[in-house]
Amino acid sequence: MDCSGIQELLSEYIDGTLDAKSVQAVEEHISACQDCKEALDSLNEVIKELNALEPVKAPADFLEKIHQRMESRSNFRRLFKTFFIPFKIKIPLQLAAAAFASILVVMVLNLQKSEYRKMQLLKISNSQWLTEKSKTDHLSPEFEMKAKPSGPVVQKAPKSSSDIKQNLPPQSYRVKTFARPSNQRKPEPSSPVLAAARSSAGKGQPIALALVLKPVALGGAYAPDADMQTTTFARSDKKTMEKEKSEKDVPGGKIETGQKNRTDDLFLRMTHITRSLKGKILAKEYHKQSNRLVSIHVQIPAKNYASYCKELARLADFKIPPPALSAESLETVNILINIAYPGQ
Amino acid sequence: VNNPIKKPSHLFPRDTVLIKAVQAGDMAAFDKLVQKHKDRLFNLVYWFLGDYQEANDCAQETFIKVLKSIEKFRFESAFSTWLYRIAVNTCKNRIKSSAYRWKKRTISLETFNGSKNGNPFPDIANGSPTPVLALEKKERMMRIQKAINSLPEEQNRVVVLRDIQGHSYQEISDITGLNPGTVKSRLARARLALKNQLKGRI
Repeated sequence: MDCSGIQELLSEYIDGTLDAKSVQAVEEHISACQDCKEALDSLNEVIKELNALEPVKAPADFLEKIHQRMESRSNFRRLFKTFFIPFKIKIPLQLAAAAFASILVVMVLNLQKSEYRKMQLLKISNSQWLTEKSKTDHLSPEFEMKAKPSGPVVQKAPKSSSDIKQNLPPQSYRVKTFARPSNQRKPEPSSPVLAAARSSAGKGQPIALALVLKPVALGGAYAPDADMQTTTFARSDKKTMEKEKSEKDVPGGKIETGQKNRTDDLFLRMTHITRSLKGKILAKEYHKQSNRLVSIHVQIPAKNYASYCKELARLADFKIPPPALSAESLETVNILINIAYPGQ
Repeated sequence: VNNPIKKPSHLFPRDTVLIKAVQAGDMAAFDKLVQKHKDRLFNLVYWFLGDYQEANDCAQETFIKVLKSIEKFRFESAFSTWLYRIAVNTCKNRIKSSAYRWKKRTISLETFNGSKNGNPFPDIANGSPTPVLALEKKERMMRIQKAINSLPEEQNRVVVLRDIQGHSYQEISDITGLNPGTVKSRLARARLALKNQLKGRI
């Protein structure tokens, strides 16, 4: 046996676990081989060193530290028990977790739904405001075309019906003329609330009224030609209001402000009448150039219809006497009022 | 010569009696069990890990694990074998943990000074008669420690169990779960490596 083979056996030779035959081979070899003898000696020395190593002892507080660690663990366990044992929960943890997760999901979805609803409401109110505010900007081109030559279409209707008759079929002329502005507004991106109000409350066409304002209604100071170049007036546009105020202070701007105030006045009066009879204003329309109120869409309780017409008669003349209400007992009626100004 | 296992002191009752008492819920018996085995276990764990604090932590953890699973102990092996098996596994997990590896890489030098992480050899530092001898002994100790710690994990385990703790091949096989042939060959390789590292320096 060569040296490397013998050296592989030395470890076991030292431990005394070799069989007799191997022991004999090792002993014969090392008696002849100095290298292997030295290897055996140094190996023996190392092992002796290791055997003689001072044992490292545990620190004095070893047991105490174990107690501390166990206590903190059992504290946690006690806490766990106090939370869960009283309820006698036998449900597996996974099941409980799944239930909890599903509850969470439902809650979140509900939350989102209500949030979505809120958003929708917000959108509706916003768009309602916008449509009312920008009514003049959104007039249909058709309406504008008719309006351009001589003010609102309505005025033209009864007087020079022959002109229009060429373009429009006679039977539908009156209704169409009055109803068009509101009908055309429908496809606009206006608020669903408004549309719903229009369609549901009146169940069909609104009652159309054509009025010619009495000159006295506007305070007698009405000047037909001084109505140009006024700024757009919106119901609750504070900026415009402030602008008006500042304009009022400037001498020379009087006519314009007067004009605006009249328009404002008319709308306020209409509002007042409507509100006093428990109705509400659904929409209004201003003439784009002259900025005068040309049509107003209101909804009032059916029982107040007669008194409403009476109130209007004080303010303006009816071109056509107001139609009587149909036998159907509607709770509310929609009225589309077109306003013409005297002298046109 | 196959060294006999150093038997723990006879001040303590036999393991079987203590274990049965612990299994019956007697915590004082557990304390006795800990006191009886803590030093030998601590030495084992210390030479496995090469760090006093880590060894302390691991040894405590081992005893806590013992208490947790002592109900399952069926007296099929010696309690010490079972205890050391748990210790070996605890140390294995510790060595695998990234925190241990990071620590070993960064402060291994301080560990060998023995000052930062507790002094594993208090008697050498304090009450030795001749300081020069004490210093020599300490240096030799540190060299051996360094050599043992530089061994691959599986060789370190076998040589610690055999040459420092004095277990028989069969016991090592029981504790580590290796077959006796593997134990022999690993031990031979470990001893050879130590001899080469420490040649002429002891």
